[in-house]
Amino acid sequence: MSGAPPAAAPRVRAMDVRSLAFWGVIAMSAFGLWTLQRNAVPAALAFPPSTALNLAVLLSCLAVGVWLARRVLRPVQAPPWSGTWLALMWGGLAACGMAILMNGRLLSFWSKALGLEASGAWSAALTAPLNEEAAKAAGVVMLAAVSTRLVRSAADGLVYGALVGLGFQIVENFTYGFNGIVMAGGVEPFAATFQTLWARIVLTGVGSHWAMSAVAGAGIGYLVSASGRSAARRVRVALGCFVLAMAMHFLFDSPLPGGTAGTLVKPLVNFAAAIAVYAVVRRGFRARWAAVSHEETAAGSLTADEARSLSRRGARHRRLRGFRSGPEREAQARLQRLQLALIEERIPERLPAEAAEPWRKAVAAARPAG
Amino acid sequence: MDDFRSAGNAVHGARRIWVPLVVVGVLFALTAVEGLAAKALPDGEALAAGTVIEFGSARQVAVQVGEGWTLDESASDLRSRLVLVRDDVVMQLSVIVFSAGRPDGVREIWDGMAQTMKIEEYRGTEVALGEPAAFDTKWTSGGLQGSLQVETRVGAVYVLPAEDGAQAVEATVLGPLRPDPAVWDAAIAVVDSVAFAGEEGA
Repeated sequence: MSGAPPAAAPRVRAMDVRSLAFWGVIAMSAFGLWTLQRNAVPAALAFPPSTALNLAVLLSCLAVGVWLARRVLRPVQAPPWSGTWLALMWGGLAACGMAILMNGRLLSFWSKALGLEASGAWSAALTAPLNEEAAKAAGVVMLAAVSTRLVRSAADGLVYGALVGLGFQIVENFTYGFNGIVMAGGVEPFAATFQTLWARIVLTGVGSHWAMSAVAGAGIGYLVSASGRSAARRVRVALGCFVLAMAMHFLFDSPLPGGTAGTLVKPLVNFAAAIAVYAVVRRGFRARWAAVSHEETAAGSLTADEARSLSRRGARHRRLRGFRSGPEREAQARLQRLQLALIEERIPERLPAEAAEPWRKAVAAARPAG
Repeated sequence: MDDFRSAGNAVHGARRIWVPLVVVGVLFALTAVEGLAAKALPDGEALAAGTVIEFGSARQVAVQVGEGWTLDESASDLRSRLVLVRDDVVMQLSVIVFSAGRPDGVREIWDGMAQTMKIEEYRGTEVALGEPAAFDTKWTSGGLQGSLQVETRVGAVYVLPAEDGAQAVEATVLGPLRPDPAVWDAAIAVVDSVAFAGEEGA
């Protein structure tokens, strides 16, 4: 049995269930679900084998997408599960439901205003970037209002934006799986769903909603985080990211460039844009992490060895494996979690260093004697 | 501007009340504005007698419209679907492309269409589709037609396969129980004019 007393770690919740934003996310998601089920449930009942295929493929994509977003897109450590689920729920239900409502109206406007020839080619590119990007970006703002702890950096905004977009992409693909059947006149419905999913996941999924929303989300994360930058600069960056996300969506839905090459190249361009934004965000986050880590090492909260291993998932695991399994390793794992919490607490630059004192004390209390 | 205090996030204090309200308000306001903008424009465009409309993803289907028809622009999409209205008769023409697998004869196309109508049934709409009978037009052969009732509206549905078997046009005509026979005849004439590219008349 371990003799170490439990450290008095500050109890903070990533999600505030008493917040208006939390219930706003729940209410909007319920509204979105109600909107979506009116079309999806009858189609699912009419074509059960396609429904099974749709569910099997898209749930697999959801699992892989969530793992990738949490493992790759957030430097140092994954975002909390509570924020992850809220982001997916907003994207899949609230944003998708609102987009269906809004798109129907704006598409109708373009048909009447532009005439059928022009609207047939351009209405999707003129509609989705505005409606869908607004609905998805709203989710990241709502998350920032659910709790002051969920979105505290551009990196947080990027990963939540990606998760919102992923939820949207999964549910949209589910509805398109049925649209494909209707477009094929109900002939070979299973093959029609398979063909639709193949095109939307394998050919274009890499540069679709998750990539656009990650870019917009990074801007929102930068806007709301206490990064020490002026409000004007934060607003400019957020607007710039949102406009870039809209431009990516416009390109994605645009009839130009057309043909098979265009269909394949456009998602790759979007993917490259998202990766470029990710690289900038990651560099900024890691620079801040290194600065805080250096300060906390000087303050004695971390040893140099611990600081070196703390910022990388693999290095953290390797360090833990250096301790005997059992109470010794568990104590080190607990110390590592508290040190991560301490550094994360100090990521917002405008917070005074002394505000993290309870975390420092918790780290000191958790450090095994000797 | 110190808008963070000890939160580390700009959405703190009273902002956690009004920010979500503004976000949701903006989304619904956008929805309302788009709806009003769409309603501000006329629903359809009256078509001159003899107008030929080409539709489908490659504009591969042509149809000739007689006098008195209006094209419902908000319900139509030149890539796949035309919706024509005359008095209280509504006609929908849809191009079906069998990209995922070719049907084994026109009966399979009919059965597929019947299955897609089940979506409406599961939605709670009363749909009654009659047994199909052979139907040929000026430009297509080997088609099928049958009676159709959707709630209180009655009419007919037509399946017109292309010669190559890679696509078809499905046409539904629905009107009141006792439509003006002249309008009904005009609807049949529109169906009769459907032609695929490469075929005579297109």
